[in-house]
Amino acid sequence: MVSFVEVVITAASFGAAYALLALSINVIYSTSTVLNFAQGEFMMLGGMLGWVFYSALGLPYWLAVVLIAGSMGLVGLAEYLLVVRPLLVRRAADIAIMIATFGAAYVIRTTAALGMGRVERPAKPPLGQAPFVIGGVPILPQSFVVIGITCAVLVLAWWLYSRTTLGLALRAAAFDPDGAQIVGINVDRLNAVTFAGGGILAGIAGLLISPLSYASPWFGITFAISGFAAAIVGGLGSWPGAVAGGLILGLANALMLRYVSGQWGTFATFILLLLVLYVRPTGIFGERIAAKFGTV
Amino acid sequence: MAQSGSATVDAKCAGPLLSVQGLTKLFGGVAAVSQVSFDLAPGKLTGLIGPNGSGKSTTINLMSGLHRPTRGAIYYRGENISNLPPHRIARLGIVRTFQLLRLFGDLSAFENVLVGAHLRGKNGFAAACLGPLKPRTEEQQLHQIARDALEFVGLGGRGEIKARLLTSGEGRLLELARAIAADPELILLDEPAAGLNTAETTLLAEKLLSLVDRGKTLLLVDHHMSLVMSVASSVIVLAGGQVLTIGTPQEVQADPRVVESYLGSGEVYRRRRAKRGVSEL
Amino acid sequence: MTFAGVLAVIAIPLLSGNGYIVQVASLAAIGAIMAVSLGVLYGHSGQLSFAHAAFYGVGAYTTVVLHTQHGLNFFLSLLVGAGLSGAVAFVVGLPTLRLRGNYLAIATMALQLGISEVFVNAKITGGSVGIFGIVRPTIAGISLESPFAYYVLLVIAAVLVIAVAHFLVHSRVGRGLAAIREDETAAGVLGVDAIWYKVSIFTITAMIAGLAGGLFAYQLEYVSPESFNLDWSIAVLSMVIIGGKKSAIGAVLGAVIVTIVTQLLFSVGELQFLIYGLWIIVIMIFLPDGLISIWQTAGRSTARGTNL
Repeated sequence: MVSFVEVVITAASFGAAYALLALSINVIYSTSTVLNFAQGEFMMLGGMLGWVFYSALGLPYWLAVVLIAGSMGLVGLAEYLLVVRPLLVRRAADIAIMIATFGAAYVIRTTAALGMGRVERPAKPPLGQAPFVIGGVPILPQSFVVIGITCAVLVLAWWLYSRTTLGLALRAAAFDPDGAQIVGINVDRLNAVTFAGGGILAGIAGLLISPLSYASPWFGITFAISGFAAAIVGGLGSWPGAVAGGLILGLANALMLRYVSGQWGTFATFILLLLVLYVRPTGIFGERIAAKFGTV
Repeated sequence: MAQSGSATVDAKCAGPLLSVQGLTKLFGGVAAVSQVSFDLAPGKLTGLIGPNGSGKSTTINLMSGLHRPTRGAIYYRGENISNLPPHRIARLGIVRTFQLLRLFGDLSAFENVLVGAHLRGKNGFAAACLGPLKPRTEEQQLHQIARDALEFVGLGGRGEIKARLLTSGEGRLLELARAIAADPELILLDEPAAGLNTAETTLLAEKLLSLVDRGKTLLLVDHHMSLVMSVASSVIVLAGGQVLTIGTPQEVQADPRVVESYLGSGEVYRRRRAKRGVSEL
Repeated sequence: MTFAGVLAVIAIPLLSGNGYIVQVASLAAIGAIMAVSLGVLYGHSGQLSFAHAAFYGVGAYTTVVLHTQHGLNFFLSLLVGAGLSGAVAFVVGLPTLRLRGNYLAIATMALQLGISEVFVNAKITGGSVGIFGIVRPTIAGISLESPFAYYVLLVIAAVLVIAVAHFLVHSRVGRGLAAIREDETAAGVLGVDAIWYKVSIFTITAMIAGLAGGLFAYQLEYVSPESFNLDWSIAVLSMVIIGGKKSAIGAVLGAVIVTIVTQLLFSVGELQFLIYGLWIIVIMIFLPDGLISIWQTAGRSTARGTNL
């Protein structure tokens, strides 16, 4: 029973971070239909910068969060302006844009490895390492940090999306990009905003998860797969789907970690993804894809 | 152009070639077409007209398998085809063209038509991998079919041009050639005259009539009445997603409701639709 | 004329008598097989696989286990390896290729990373150490033990694969695949069974990658997981993109360039991946049809004048 509770809490912690990453993938995908493979590297960078700002430089945690949000927003924006936008302007195929984002992922990953070292760094958790014992179950304090900040970010994102003019424009562009353009929404600027937002969300996810694993330049691609798997399991483009998919993936990872081995994590993710694609390709919340599937 | 026996009017199929029965398609609760029923007589050119948003495109998308009907069914030679994927419908002998041109832009005009002739060949992956070890007879036949189809629409000299470099008029004719190359029994033409000038439209009308002479069944969707009226033997009028009337061109033209649905009375018509709770798409 | 030129280029490594040159040329020939395979899938059919290194690995391990460890006939082992790669591709392709959009890319990425874990952790693959003691086979009394002799086998294999790819592209199914790439809906209403075609070509190209992997194992004479990781998938993708995704010549050109550049950059370690990443971006934006398109455009404008 105790071990079950532990698994659930580990699942929720990893799941929360994956949910943020899946959300960041969906934010970009909904408006531009770009599948951005650099998202995993954004998450990795968030963890690396977290290590630099908080563990190495010893800045206050809140300042580290702000700095990471700011710098990752800029990285996302830079990726849009330098890599994605030139291809959108040239009306390149989706698949070409995806490959280019993959090129960007490699650039980011290698730059991080060369610039910050190839080692795995233990990131310092803000509330310390000593587990709280609640009802006999030891719980890492970082779990509370991950789940708490994720919930706060989700609420903020939900508010932005459903209660502001920006959110309205995002929803309009996701529903019908051409129509949105016609009614005067600047889709180009909106794309820039979503890439910056995607960078921020993924960066924070990386900061949050790094004390639970490590900060390493090599983790980005594994993150990317987890994020895409979570987004697809939940339903590509769906915001509630991102949260549900993230949690399911977190659970799968926690179960693997606990009962099998940490060495088979990505293989398990792959099997989960394949099963979902066989059984319910639209994901849990993916009606939009169902509507698009097989139509003109 | 090679004549195939199956394309001529079949004696044992005295009934309609295709029968649409009670077809309804909802998009997010909104009915794009509702309770549409009509028959297509074999070997005839039937017109399908109606103002913009009357459900013509949805009907043709349903008939070609791009949408699945919410209710109702489509029977082709007695077989229910309403849940078949597009390529299966094509294999049965129904091929369509598109209102917004959907050519294979990076392929040459000739290659576009060769893809149209896809169903006329049988060679699969194994044969393809063998390359010259396999006789080229089928390939030569397909090339001949494609050349004939291009020639038929008057694009004989433009075969080597990439499809995206053609003028929009040529693109329309290429869509037609592509469909003809498949040698279907039934061709669904989605506004083939859109963007054509008068001379090109006249040429198109001639081509369509000559296809009918060869025994093809055609459904011509258009919102311009003049072309349809000059070539169709019967006309279906859609309005607000429903069949307004079916008749000969003369009967349809004389029908005041048709005139009303088209001319100045758009307001009347819209109000009537609003009353029925059908919102404008 | 051109034929003689190609023959001369192929013969140089043999005539050089230099083991290093033959090794690089062998890697280029294997790269060419991989690039042509991915070129048919991505450039011609418009579907993307990030798992070509995984199929390569499946082919390599299967061939080695069957031939070296169990004494099965070399060519039969190669075939079984290719078949197994194809089977994996089929299982992954079937659910993903039913969907519009780039699900295949994501699923193959997951496959690539997942299967790398299998290669590292499984017993049959020899774990992270891999399998040593591979000896090149003797075929019909001819020993291929010398790298020079084995290079000839690789060239023959590459030529066969290029020929098959060429026939495939210029056939009825090849046109169907191009039509799917250009407009899947329009292809469908003309009777092209898009799902079957996409799954088939994905399976076939994965089989070719598996074949290349089997050949590679006996070139290197040992197999270990780092030969079959994502970096190799990306290297192959960059061959296709740099050379030109639309033609076999482009893919071969890309394979030669990337193989040589990789050798030159070997000492700089990770920096080479920075270069891969950058040139993928730059070529995608500025030269979407690869280096071969410069030559093709030049050829066309001098011969006929531009007709644009």
